[in-house]
Amino acid sequence: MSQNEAAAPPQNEKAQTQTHQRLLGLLFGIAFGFLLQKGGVGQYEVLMGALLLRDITVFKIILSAILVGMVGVFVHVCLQRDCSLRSSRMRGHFHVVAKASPI
Amino acid sequence: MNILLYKAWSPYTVGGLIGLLSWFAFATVDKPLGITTAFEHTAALSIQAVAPQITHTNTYYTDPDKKPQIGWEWMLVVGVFIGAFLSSKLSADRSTDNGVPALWAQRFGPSASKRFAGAFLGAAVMMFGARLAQGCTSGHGISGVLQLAVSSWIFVAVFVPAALLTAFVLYGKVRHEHV
Repeated sequence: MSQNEAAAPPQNEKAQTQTHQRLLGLLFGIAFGFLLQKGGVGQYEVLMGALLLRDITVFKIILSAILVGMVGVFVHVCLQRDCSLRSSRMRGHFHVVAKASPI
Repeated sequence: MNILLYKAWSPYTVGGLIGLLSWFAFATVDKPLGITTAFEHTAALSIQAVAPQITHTNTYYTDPDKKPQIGWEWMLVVGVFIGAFLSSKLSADRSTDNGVPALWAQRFGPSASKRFAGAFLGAAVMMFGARLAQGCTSGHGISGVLQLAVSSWIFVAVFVPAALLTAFVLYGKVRHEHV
């Protein structure tokens, strides 16, 4: 939702947006909670196992979520900013260049 | 469909799906999957209910983008309870320790009230820290880190060693028997 939409929509439209957001939040939450439970990260043993370095389940979950999530955020940002991959002359590494168009 | 009845999924599957979920959260409402914002909003709304004049004197309540409300973040937490409940019911995966885990009992004794007091105090400290940092393990640790947010990387660099240190100080001597 952009800031312009939030600024001054008619009252019923605003209420509709809010209901829509709440419903989406509930659905995302159900999926998130389901996954957390299936991953076992609601269990004392699993969490303490991670902090005592005896069970790396929590780290596996967090790191794979970060890896997968990163790709989506990268694409999301690129779709909005028109990124391109360019090879750097300095070391031959690939760099992502986000052109300076505003989001 | 009986995969829904499994007690646990591969951590890589779970993590990957949480990552996918975060794509859709960013794409639809442009928000990170975070938990503790809802608790802050609940506290702020409670204060507002008791002392309504605070909305005029405290600028926290006047920022249109951040003002406390029952919105997406709040319903996310409601959903987490429902989703986790559904998952545990479907797989009949429930705790059998009556609220006092074996490792805790070994270190601090079998008293349930002591366990609950410890959990409550720990949660209060954790929530204070999470709101000071404006995020928790999910908000900073996953959603912030995957956006390459500098604040989140600093958060994780401090939070993980601090958590490990606390765990080893509290449980170091008994850790081998249970976990």
